Amino acid sequence: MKETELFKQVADRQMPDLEKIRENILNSEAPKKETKIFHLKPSRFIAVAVVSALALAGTIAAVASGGVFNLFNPKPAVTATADEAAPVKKTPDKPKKANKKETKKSKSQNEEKLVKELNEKGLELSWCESLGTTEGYEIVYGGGDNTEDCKCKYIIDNYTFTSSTQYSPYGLGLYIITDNGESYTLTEARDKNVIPDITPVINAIDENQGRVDFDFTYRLSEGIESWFLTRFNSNVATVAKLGKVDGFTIYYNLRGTKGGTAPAETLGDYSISTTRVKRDYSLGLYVSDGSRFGDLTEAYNNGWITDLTALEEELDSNPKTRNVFTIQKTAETATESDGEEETQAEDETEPETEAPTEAVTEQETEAESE
Amino acid sequence: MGENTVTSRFNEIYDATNKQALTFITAKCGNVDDISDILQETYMEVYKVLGEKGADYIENDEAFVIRIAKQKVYKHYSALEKRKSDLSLTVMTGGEEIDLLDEIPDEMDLEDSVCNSELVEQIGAYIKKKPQDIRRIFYLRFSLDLSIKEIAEMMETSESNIKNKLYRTINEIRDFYGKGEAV
Repeated sequence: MKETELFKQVADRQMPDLEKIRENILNSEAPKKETKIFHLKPSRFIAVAVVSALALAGTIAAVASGGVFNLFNPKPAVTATADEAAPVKKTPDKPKKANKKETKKSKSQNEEKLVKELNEKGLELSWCESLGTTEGYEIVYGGGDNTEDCKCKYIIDNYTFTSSTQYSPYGLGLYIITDNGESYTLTEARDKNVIPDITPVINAIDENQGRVDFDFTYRLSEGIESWFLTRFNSNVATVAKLGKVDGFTIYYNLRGTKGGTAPAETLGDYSISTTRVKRDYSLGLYVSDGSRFGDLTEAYNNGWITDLTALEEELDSNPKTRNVFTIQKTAETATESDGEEETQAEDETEPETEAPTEAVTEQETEAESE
Repeated sequence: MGENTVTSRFNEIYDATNKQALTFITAKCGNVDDISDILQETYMEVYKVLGEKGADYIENDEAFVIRIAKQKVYKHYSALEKRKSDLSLTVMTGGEEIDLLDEIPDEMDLEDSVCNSELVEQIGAYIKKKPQDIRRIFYLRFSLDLSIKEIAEMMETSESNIKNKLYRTINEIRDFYGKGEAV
């Protein structure tokens, strides 16, 4: 048997039986028209049930005051006048209809206004929908007609918001409209303290998770990923784990541009350089012990990482970093003239700068050739 | 809206989208053992929507199904589990970025004397013990016939990462079973 056929058989056995799933679904109870009350949360269901019961009791009482026969006869009882009986039926209907219409109008006006305002900011928002109103503002989500798939990650307060909706190519797609009619993106709203707390937004997302056209998630940010996203204002954390040094986990950046001026740092007796140029021109090495985060230079300066020999071993032992990072001991052959090494350099009679320069040049050449 | 209309519309959507949905769920799930459940939940929701809103409600079948599949995947896992799953995609441990694709022949030298069905079961059991990301890659490649590039895009990682994981696993299978050794 051919290898690929064999693997296909192996893989197929693990995959679900599509026909069986179809059968299961079609054999399930046939879907029926939605009865809205059953979609309410239990607490709301009880509330609605209580209100309905009270309303029914009120109606019965009102009708009874006009004569018990009203229960069985829609016509006013002989004992009641038409003027007395009529308001019982009409009063609850009229304002209810008017209110409903007014709310709908107000909501759509808000949405239209938001669409217009956001479009004035250069966005091509074509629709939006309310997720609910809370203290002084409305939470709205929306987007354009662009069907290009987009995944956005934003760190706001302690939460990482993710939108994988196809309709929000301009950002997260969550907006805040204040009672004054001003509109903000969620990030803006928090930055400008328009909303003092993110919790109502979280609640609104939770309450709307069941909707088929809703596509936001959030989670509490933690760890190196969150730190990385915040620090570099990035949507994607592209760090990989290298190993442990001095109780800290070392991570390295998977991204970077090859070529250009390769960053180099001198930490203690070591010169460290890389072929990957990062956006922040750092080495792209980060450390964390779960509660403290920083790049390698910060970690060294803070005294978190002292064992650079162990770091050298980690960098050299990993094939992914071996050719990207160069770490060399310089104390025996050269004396550094920058940073913390200045005082040491003063004692040296012939400070050499050849080694680090060579290292950088070597990496630059390698980067260019790559 | 007649029940038959809903059923036939459902069947139409199911036939047109089940491969894409399965591919999406396989690539995004936290545990491949959940694929069947998530797929069924996804189409149950589609069926429900059709019943409630009518057979004409869904305009773009694939976009609609994938959107529901996304929600079902998100819902299926807790935030923590999802996070672990996300991280596992970006964390790489070892392995040179060598294009192994060119180095691997189409056929491997498995012992012909071994009963094929037994071998399939043994390899299946072996794959089941592998980490989730490797299992997903294996199923996407061999059951759903996705290319390395497509798998990398679906799993939001590099092609070399996918190649490394896939071909390392294939080589392991060869080492264990090609020589007739038991794991």
